[in-house]
Amino acid sequence: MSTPARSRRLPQRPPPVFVLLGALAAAFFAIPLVGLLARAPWSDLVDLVSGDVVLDALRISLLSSLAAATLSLLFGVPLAWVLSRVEFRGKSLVRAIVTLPMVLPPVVGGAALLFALGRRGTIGEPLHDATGFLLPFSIWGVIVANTFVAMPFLVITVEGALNNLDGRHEAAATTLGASRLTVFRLVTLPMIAPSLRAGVLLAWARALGEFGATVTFAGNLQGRTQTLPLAVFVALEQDRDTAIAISLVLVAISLGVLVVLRDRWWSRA
Amino acid sequence: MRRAVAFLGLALAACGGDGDRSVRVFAAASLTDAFVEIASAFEAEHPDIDVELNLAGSSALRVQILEGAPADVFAAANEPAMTALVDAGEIDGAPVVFALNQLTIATPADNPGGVTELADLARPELRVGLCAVGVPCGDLARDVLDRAGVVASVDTDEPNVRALAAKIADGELDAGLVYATDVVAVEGLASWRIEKQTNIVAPYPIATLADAGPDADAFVAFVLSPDGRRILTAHGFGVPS
Amino acid sequence: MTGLDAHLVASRGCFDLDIALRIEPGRTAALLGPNGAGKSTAVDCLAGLVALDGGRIVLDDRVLDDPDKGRFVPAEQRRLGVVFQDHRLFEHLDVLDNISFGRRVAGDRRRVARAGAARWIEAFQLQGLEHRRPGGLSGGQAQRVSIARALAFDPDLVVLDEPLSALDVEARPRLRRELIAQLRGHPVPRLVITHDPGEAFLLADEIHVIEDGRITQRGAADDIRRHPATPYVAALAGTNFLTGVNDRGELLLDGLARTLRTADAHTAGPVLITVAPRAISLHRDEPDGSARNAWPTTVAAVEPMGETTRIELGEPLPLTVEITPAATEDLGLAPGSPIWAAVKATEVNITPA
Repeated sequence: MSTPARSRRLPQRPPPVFVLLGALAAAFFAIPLVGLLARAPWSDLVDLVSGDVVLDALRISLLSSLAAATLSLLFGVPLAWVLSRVEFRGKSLVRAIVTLPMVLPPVVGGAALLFALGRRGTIGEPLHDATGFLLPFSIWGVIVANTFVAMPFLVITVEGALNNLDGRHEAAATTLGASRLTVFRLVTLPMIAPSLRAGVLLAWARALGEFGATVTFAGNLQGRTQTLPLAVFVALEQDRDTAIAISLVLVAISLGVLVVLRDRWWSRA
Repeated sequence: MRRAVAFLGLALAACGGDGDRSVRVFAAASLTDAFVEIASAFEAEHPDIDVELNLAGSSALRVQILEGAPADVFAAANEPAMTALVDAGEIDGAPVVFALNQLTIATPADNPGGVTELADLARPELRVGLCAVGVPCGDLARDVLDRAGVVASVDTDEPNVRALAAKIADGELDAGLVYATDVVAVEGLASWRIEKQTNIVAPYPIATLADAGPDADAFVAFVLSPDGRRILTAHGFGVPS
Repeated sequence: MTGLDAHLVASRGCFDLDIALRIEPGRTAALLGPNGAGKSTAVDCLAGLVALDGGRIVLDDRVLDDPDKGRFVPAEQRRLGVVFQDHRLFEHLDVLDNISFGRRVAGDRRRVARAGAARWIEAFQLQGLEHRRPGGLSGGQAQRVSIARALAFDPDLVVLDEPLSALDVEARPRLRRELIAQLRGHPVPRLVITHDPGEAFLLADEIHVIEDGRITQRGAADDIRRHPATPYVAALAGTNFLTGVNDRGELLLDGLARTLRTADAHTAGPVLITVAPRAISLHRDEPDGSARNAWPTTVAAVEPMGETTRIELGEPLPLTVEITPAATEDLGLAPGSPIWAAVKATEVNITPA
């Protein structure tokens, strides 16, 4: 095995067992990707990718995943702050509920959303009767489903980061005259920035890849609710080449983002 | 010591009962209820054979088999799925049509949209669902709608027919096109007939696969037998005469 | 401006604090005490990070905390400049932004606040470091920025919590001098919290010694040195500390065979005795003069301390002596060397026990 030129030189050889297991793990992730690339219809790729189906799915996926990431940020950060800083009864229950979507099979999550927010849902029905507004079968339904599965990742990451702060810098800012909100804005947020970025990235990635909850809650309609993962699934039934082409688009987006951000987002700023 | 070994041997033998004889049946989702009953009946007749059912959309099953999933019997909801496998040389002998199905309009039990005929599916204010293109139910639905000259205002293309039926039964959708057999199997649905001249009868083919085990033929024979046919009609299928 | 008038009563767990502090404008007070004495609690109370259980804090006629009257001004409104031991600079802001933080929070625009920070850059000789992040500063530089930050928003009271203890020993004298220069003439009252007597003696006009949540002694540095009230204070000054009974100028020392003569013949009864290490002289032979205390002894230890050398004497009087390294060499002192020690009666200080 050759080591890349830029790696640190260790003073002594790493334990062979670690190297072997690590290599197997890396291969585990690389092999499906290789399989995908090997079967790709390279000659028709451009045509397949520029077709309506793919472009529609791309648009909806990007729109809904970015919206989900934004909503996760807007609502998830305050929630993380409350979980980290405020003592109240039933906090562990709240934390368990917030974490539930991470553990729940996405389809179950989608079904639950349907029971609550669908047309005959507990909240959905009165909402529909009053305003005529309906979440399923619209892009909003996709966004809701995506946010439901993605936000917990952000909340957990940010809460962890807030718990790691010891409050010393915040105390210093307070003595300099900063109100609590100002302390949060000027001191706390910048200090948790790396974890916050990681949380947003995780949430976005999770939303982008979401399938089960989306198809169950929002349905599947090209141009309106069909995201890239849904398009792949449907395409698998008809035309494997299209399915692979769409999969490659998803992989390309994800890899692209990760490469552009590289270490900046994962390491401490 | 000898007694312990004997006891162990007896326990192992009693445990499986079936030994290693099994038939892996890949069947279309719309055959779920019928085939579950057929499998039980078959196992009752052949106590030493175990039937393993893999139920999914016919096209998904087709893909799985083409990619090498181990199957002994394939029962599809339409002929193209079967033909694809025949062309790929996966089928042993010739497929046989064992059941017939047709589409029907399904609405929630209380029919909030007041749907009674195919033309109603074009109403834009209704929430209408079909199966996705490539899924047999979806392809069939589109053929039927073409025949009737109706352009449905579709809100979702569900990946399989049971998911579609569930959403209709829950009231999330006002109407959809599902199999007649789904209306029998799924609670909470009301059905509305499609005119005979517009409707299309879907033949369901069954075949044993090329590398199937020895008991596959016995299973297919059971499906085609009077017992099998009786179970199929009880679940709403038609049977070829 | 009337300065600080505080009576801090607070309990934290099984520890309770009850001290009174008055600091005039323009003066520097030190709160000197061992770790665990209650210094950090006092800082937290003054800063408003902890509420008092009793007592009162009044700063320039503003009541900041009065539990009996139910008045409590939150920390962010107290206008206290606090310099923390671990500087606590904001890592994501550069030096200028750190210094101008207080003004920005008060509403100044960023550019204005940064411009205003320029005089502090000059005052603390931080030229060239304006755009650096705290991670790129040395300990001494970081602490200087921290002090500038506390002063820059024009507080009504400056509290310096162990300002030098995080620095290397070599860096301290320089920062100490800068601190003295900056604080002198500043109209605002200053409070230095420290466990280092040297810091207290050098920086403060007035020292308040705190032990176990109570003030045990107050006064100017020299007073405290000369007349330490507790063993702790005596130990701090590096002073020799003994106990005994004064019999008209002759001190009968507890647990020791020899006696010492003191110039103070009036204070009778049990006394605390202090002798400054520098007041003791060492001689090869028996020194002349009858008014002195003089006795033969041996050297127990020799401890070079840079500019001075500490000599620990053995029996009959185990005292600490400070002499120059040159003198140490002249006398050829080493552990075990026989030597004569002498101290004037006027240098043997006593206070009633």
